Amino acid sequence: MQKVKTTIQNWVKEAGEQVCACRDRKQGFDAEVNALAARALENILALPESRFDAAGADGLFGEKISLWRETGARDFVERRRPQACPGLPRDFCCDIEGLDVQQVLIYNGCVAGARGKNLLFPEQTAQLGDKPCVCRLSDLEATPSHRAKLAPFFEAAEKGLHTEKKHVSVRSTADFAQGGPDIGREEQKWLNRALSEDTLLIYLPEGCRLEKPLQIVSLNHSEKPVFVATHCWILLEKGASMHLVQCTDSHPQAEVFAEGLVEMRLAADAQLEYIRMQNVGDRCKVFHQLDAHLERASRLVTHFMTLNGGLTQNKVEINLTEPEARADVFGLYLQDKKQQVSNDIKINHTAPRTYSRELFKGVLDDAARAFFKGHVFVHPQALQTEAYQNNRNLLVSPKAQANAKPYLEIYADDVQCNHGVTVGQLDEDALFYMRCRGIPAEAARRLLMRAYADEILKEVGVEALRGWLDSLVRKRFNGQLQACQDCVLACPERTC
Amino acid sequence: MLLEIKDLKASINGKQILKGVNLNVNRGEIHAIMGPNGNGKSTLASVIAGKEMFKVDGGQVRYKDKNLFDLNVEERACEGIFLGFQYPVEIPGVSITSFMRAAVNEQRKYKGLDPMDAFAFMKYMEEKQALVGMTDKLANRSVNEGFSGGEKKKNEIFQMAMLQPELAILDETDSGLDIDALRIVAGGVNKLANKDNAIIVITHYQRLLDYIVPDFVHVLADGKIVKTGTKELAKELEEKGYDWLKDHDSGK
Amino acid sequence: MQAKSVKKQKEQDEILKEITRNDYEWGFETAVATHTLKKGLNEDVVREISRLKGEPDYMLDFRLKAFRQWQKMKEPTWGHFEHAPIDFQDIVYYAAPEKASDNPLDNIDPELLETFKKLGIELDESKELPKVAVDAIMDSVSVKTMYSEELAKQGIIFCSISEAIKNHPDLIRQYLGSVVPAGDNYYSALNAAVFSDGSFVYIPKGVRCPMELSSYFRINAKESGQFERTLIIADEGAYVSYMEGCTAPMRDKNQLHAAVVEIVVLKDAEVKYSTVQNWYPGDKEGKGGIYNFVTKRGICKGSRAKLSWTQVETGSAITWKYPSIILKGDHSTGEFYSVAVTNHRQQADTGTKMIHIGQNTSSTIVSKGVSAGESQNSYRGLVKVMPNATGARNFSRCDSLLMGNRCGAHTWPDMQCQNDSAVIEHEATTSRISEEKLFYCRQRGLSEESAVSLIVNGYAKDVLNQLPMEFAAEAQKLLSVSLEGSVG
Repeated sequence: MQKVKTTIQNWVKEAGEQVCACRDRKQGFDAEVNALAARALENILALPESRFDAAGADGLFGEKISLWRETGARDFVERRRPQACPGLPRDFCCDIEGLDVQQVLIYNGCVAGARGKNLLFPEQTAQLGDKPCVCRLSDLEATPSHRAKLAPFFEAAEKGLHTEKKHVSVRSTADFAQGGPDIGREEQKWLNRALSEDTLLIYLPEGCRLEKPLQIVSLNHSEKPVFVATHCWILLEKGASMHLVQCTDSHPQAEVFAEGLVEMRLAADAQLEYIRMQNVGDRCKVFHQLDAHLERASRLVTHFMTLNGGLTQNKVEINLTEPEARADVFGLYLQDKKQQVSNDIKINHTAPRTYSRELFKGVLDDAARAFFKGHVFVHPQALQTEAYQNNRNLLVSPKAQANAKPYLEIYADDVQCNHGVTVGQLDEDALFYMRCRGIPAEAARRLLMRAYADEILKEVGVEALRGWLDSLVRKRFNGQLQACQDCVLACPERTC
Repeated sequence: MLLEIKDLKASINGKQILKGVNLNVNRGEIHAIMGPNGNGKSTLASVIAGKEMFKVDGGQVRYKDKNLFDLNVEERACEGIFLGFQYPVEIPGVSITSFMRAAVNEQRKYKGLDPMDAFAFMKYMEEKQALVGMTDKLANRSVNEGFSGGEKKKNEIFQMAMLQPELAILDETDSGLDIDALRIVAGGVNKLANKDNAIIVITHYQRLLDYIVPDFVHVLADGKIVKTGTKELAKELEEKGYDWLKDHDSGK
Repeated sequence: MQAKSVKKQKEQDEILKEITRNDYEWGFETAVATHTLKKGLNEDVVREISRLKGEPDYMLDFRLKAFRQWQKMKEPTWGHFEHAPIDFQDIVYYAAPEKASDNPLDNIDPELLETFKKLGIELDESKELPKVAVDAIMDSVSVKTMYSEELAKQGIIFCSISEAIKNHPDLIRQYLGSVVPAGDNYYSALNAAVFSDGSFVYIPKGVRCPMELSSYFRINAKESGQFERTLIIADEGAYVSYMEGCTAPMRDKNQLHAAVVEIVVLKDAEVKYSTVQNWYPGDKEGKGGIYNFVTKRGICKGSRAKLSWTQVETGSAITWKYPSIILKGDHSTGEFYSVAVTNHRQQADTGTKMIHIGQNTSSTIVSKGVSAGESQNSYRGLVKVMPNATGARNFSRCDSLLMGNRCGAHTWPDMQCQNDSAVIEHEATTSRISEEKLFYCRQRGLSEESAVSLIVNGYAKDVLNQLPMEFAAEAQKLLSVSLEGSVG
């Protein structure tokens, strides 16, 4: 197991050298970022060996899908870090019909675009002022105002590095209700902090409403097994709002292990719709984390669309820290072959009158396996909390498996919480009825499955996006989708 | 005097609803309180019954020569105040029979009487069921659970018959009822009215008053009783609507 | 309005006083001569227990093997409760009322008879009107088993497990530890090493047990733990309904109760097992009370076998208990109905496991938790459908009711489905007792306390309905008593 640690150490070293080669400025937040990375690496190296043991029950980064257990520690150490920046496609665009978006490309973890510039307005310098801004953290001057705006992110990261495993055998009742950072989640963040090369920053100033959706395309392509880490900070100031689509795509044959961390903060009244599209080849592994802090009356709507991928894990933690904050977390997973998907959603209600809704639906074919773990935590002060948690699974093949753990941990009495889980099949009566009307069994089945997926799709706020997602889902059910067909990688002749 | 309300003011969440209500009710009388929705009719009923979410900001209510506000909800009930709910509450798993048995015996205990034995209680219940035309089947179901609107209201009147209140306040008992259900409910109320009790009927429409004939009709608007009259007033309201009153009021 | 809140405060004080007066009416102590072993646990103690009970060698082997396993194991820490470390060397592992014997009534210490009478258990067969056969167990030994002879006429064996070990070695050897192996978990290993008594039931082929069987457990001795072991075997086509009740005196110190119940249900047989658990819960500050760490498991071995667990859990400082069912036979059925009420500083972590192995097996889980005071109440359950369990069905409903803002109500379900023709449905809600319902009841004249009791009883109805008649009334009363002082 020492090998895993050595591998991580080597990657960090490599990354350091690459940064030096590819970056031309030394200013900015490098000192802070490097300190965090160094400390994160230390933490990882200090973890007990058993946490890296692929066969052990104590496997790191998840219960059912542990980073090591399911991917295998060997799989991990045999990977390389890609030489990303040199291979960056020059004129890439992801052309989705009828969809007018702003686009940012990340290729194998490397952000494309001019250095030091605001990627939304390439003529402007990157800065967090009165204009929306998308840039690399390394492109940002470390001015006092920038420092102040980013302070909560740095503080949270710092705090996470000091998380210690609680002593489990004796706890006081008050301890129960503490909640606090989840050590398992923090550990996975350490890996990202140690290995991600840069941070993509998305910033909206007060009151700014971005009309066009922003699309971040994470392209992953490598014929050899690689490991890619990406990191993203999203800061929405008071009353700001936007739609964000983040697509993780790969070439159908690629062998990429994509590890990603998105940390977001929504100030009062801010609104964010965040759509996460995961559509990678069967030999790709995706481990994604989302960490959100929602202030007063802000609203976050997320959609986790897992259309394809060998192994996909979404680990989400949403903190509703001020009254009236609201989160809707939707998910759709369509898995077949030997694919595995895990959605692990923790929602911390720590303020009164907060609201959360989770709805995850999946269709599992062949020998696919799905895991759902939801954990709603309600702090004693979070009175009048409403929390709804739902997971629905369709098993359409004898070897498919579904597992669900919908947890409710509640310390306040004036609450309305419920959860429901179902595992079942398509409605036989409906199938029969449709067939009696002349619809062939297969088509009827597909129709029902689409209707089933519709409940998630209809929640997508932007119509054009909804149409696009709908067509992808349709293709997926028709067996036409391996990787995103609109993507330059899947159809090299269609370079635009 | 059975009930004497003087300058009653009440609010909910800081919003004032009752702004000085005056009302006197004697035994043997039937009062109707009418008025547009959202003007305080149901609040008045809730305050008299003792619903704690309403804050009494001022005024007095004397009931049977006691300060009503010295009594808590169940004490008021045991003293003979009955509220027929506009939206009767569903209590899953509790049958009407056991619910009523608990209520009747608690009220008997309050009055220093022995609890009714099971046999006597069943007999008593059958008697009252017959009075309001309620079937056995209904009595064995959980309180209000899965009841139609009419069944719920009928159940309220049945409970009124069981508890024999001295002051019954029927809050929008007619809402959501078709004409047949209305007739049955009103018939029950008429059978229960006597010289020793008083009934306050809260309603939005005049049509209930065709079946329950009031001695007095009050109009509650903007938190006050703005007009009091006889049953003729109800007819007048039916024809002219409430706006007429408002104009009349502001014209003063 | 000021006057009113003062009045309300006063009322609450009154209620509180009332509670302090009559909290746990089963908290008395019986003065009987007791034979106890010295505190502590080692191999010699295990040998001594076996010797005292005059057990055959195979039992001693069983115990020693379990003890050695236990020594290597660690206490489970995943439960959602907290307690100070348990000193297993500070516990008395064997305590027996001296005069106890299984012979006629005259041989039993009258104090003991009186004790069980106070608990509402009539051990005099001539007096018992609705026939319920009771196995009364005080501390470590069975005091008296009723109607054994009458039942024996139909081939039914109902006796203490100590007698069964002597008189029915074949059945014991075949089934003891077959559903809950000694090494299953920390507390089952401990139990296997030191269990002192318990009940044994065998219902022969095709026999419907003509009366309710029942065991009544009572911890009396100070500082002793209770480790009873129950084994029930329903042979093909048999039926039995079994009830279990328990109480303990009030003591400042926590006492350990680590029981094991094993149930084997063969083809076409049915077993109904009902528990009203009312061990001493400790005082309002959480001082004293029983640590109830119990392993209960049954197996539906043959086709169409049916096993049903019903439990009303109101007592114990800590409850750690997951009555489970292995549905091995095709078309077998498992049911779990539970009401768990916690108040003051009680902590309950309870639920079930349903393991679907056979085809067309079905299971139902209904769990109703009520937490009040500063208590913690968790439902923890596993529904597992194995690959060959074609046509498996599970329905779970787990509700929690919170009373007051200092308690916790938690749901930790786990569903694992490995067969595509299975249907699993799980629903759960958590809410507080509705103000609307309380007001409605109070408007009809019910006091707040009776309103709460009525609503809670209604809420728990689906479970209470499953209890045998003899138990239902007691359970209802217990629910009300347990929740006294929780309003306001």
